[in-house]
Amino acid sequence: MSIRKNKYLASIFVILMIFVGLTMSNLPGPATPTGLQTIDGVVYNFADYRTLNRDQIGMFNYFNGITVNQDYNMWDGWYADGYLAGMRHYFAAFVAYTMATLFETTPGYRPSVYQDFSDTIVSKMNTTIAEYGNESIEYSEWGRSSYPDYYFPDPNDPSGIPMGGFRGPANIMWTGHYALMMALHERNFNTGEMVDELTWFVEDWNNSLTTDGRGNPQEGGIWGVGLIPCEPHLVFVNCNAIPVFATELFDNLIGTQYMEGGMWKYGLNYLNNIMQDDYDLFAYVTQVSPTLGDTDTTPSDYPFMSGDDQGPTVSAYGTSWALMFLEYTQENETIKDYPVFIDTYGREISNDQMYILGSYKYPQNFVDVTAVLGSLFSIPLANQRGDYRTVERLRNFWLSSTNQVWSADGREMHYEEGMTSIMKAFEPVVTFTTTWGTIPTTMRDLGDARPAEFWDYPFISEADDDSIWVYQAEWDEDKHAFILTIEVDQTATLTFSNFDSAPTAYAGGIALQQLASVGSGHTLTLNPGTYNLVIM
Amino acid sequence: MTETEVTEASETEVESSETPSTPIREKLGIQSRNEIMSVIIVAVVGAILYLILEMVPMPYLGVSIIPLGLVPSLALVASIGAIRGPVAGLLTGYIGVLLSNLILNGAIAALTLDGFALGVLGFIVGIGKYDITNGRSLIKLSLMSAIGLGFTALLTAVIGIFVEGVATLAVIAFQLLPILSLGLPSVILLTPLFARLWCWFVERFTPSAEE
Repeated sequence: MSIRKNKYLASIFVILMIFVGLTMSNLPGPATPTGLQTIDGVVYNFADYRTLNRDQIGMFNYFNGITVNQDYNMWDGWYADGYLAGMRHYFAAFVAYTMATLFETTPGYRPSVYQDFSDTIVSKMNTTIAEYGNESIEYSEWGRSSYPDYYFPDPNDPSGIPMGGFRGPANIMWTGHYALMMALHERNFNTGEMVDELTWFVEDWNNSLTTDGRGNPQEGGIWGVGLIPCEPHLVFVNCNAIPVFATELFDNLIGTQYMEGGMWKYGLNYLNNIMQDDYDLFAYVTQVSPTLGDTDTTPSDYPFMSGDDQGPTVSAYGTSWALMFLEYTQENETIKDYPVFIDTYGREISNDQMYILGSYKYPQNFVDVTAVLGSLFSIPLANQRGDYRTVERLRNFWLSSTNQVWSADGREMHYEEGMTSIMKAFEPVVTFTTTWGTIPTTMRDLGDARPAEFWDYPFISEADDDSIWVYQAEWDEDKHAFILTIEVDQTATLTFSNFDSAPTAYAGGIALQQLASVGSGHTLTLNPGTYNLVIM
Repeated sequence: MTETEVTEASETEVESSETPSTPIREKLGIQSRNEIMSVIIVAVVGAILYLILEMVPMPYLGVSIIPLGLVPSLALVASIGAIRGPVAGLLTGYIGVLLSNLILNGAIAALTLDGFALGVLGFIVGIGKYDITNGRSLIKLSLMSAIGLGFTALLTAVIGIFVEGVATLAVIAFQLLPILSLGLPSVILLTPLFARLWCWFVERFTPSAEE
């Protein structure tokens, strides 16, 4: 019997055609083209160089769109209002880190669009009450709280050490992130504009960690644990991981020796040996002083780890974040703890999907914000550890029912539906975390400053950014050639700086064109298409 | 060769087999050594086809937290159950998931119970008898596939909760719902189509069919 005579099969065909037509979306894009080129006997294998893909650049364009085109105090498109207003600038901080890894993947492409984004997101992190009133980060972070009148060790006793404002000393979550954002900006763009402010924060941390807060040396610093609280009576492991990494980078950028000098030694020892759970993973939080109005405890009762009958409070959010940012400083600890973390907190949904529990003590808690963030932050952690199978499984979980949405002009990419339909704020968060976990450069790679000679290498200083997709762009110092993989939507011109004389662009081993000298730079004009270029 | 012819051929083999026949073995389609070998071969080939289908990214559309789309590998398991019987369907699902876990994901999940859960789909579909050339029988095949998938979904949920320790909400949102929203259109629409394609293939290319 033919299909034409079988009404049921014929109906199935029709329904299938309609159904496939309606659901034809979310297919993976093409891989970035790489290949081999031989020029004058020298082989250039493009697969050897770091590569971005279209999704990652589309993700940058999306965040660029909701970041630079509005005032510093405006957060349209971040969907983090209400109680999430206290978290949105932290989302922004993590977006800044995501973009820093993206920028580093194509270090020879440093257009104004990247630098402006980096500069803007740092500025959005630091809006003050004086300038923006209740719409400022200072207000949402500190001004609306009871913290301004807070003292240590007794928060009610004004004869103690004042815990200051949102710039410190007892607000390490904000100061750590803000300082790291500035450090990464300086690392990636070498402007020198943020060095003084960055220095102030590092010196303030040093004072908090090595003295009693009144100028006298004291082991364990003001709070006696070698770590800095936020809120300001709670010390979180994750919040301290950020300034540790910022201090490492600051030392490498400026040439100081705070890390070698032991600024964080006591605190790291405290984290690794005391602030631990039953699995020898980081516990989440230690209380270092009473809260305002607390009459049940006295300062001598502190510090102690927060917890319950089942032991200390644990959190995938805190642990994943801390493991990632502390790897640069204590690689062996992260290598040792990472598989235990995945085994303890991980839950398998299927052969190709898994998620991370917010707390292994409460496995039924699934959609709490920090539980979701813990699962999402584990994606870049797994990527940093080279555990690409876990990256894929976590991404499959979070993206299994989301739609990849491209803007009308095809330049901006983000995710909608799926988990983001439960909470709109997850739209940007899922977009950057799941993409961050696919970028070949990791946070650990950003701990080192660029060598001094890097700033003399040829690079793309200007381009028709809206018409191009720069997948690979870096100077190969060994071969004295600039490696560029680029897709051009409309005829575009790129301006290179730091070439001594007009170089030639090669494609497929054959000279494509000699760059034109314009002012102090050299320009390359490309027609629509995708190119693997060696410029030398 | 039609399903009726397949059944007749099986009966002939039963008569000539040394293995004693029982109603259960007859129902399972494993009455003779030849049949057992045939079931194993079909299951292995089916598992390889399952692996290949799993390697192909399929489009889908997210609507709220529900993904809509097609998963041809599910329909393949149901089709093999329909064509070669419940044991072949069960083994195809089990070995197929095992293979894809090992080759595509480099690990075994849920003590291989997820493979068993999928195999149940093929098993339940295989219990029925179908005339692939008949429209009403194909409707029955679609319905049996949907019922089989329901059992697979329930088993998957039970495994998720009691073996993997997955949060109930996660089981509902990320196991039950996707299996049903992706699986039901797949097995209802694709299973009869795959079965009919197999029938056409047998009629077109096997010597016995030409005779």
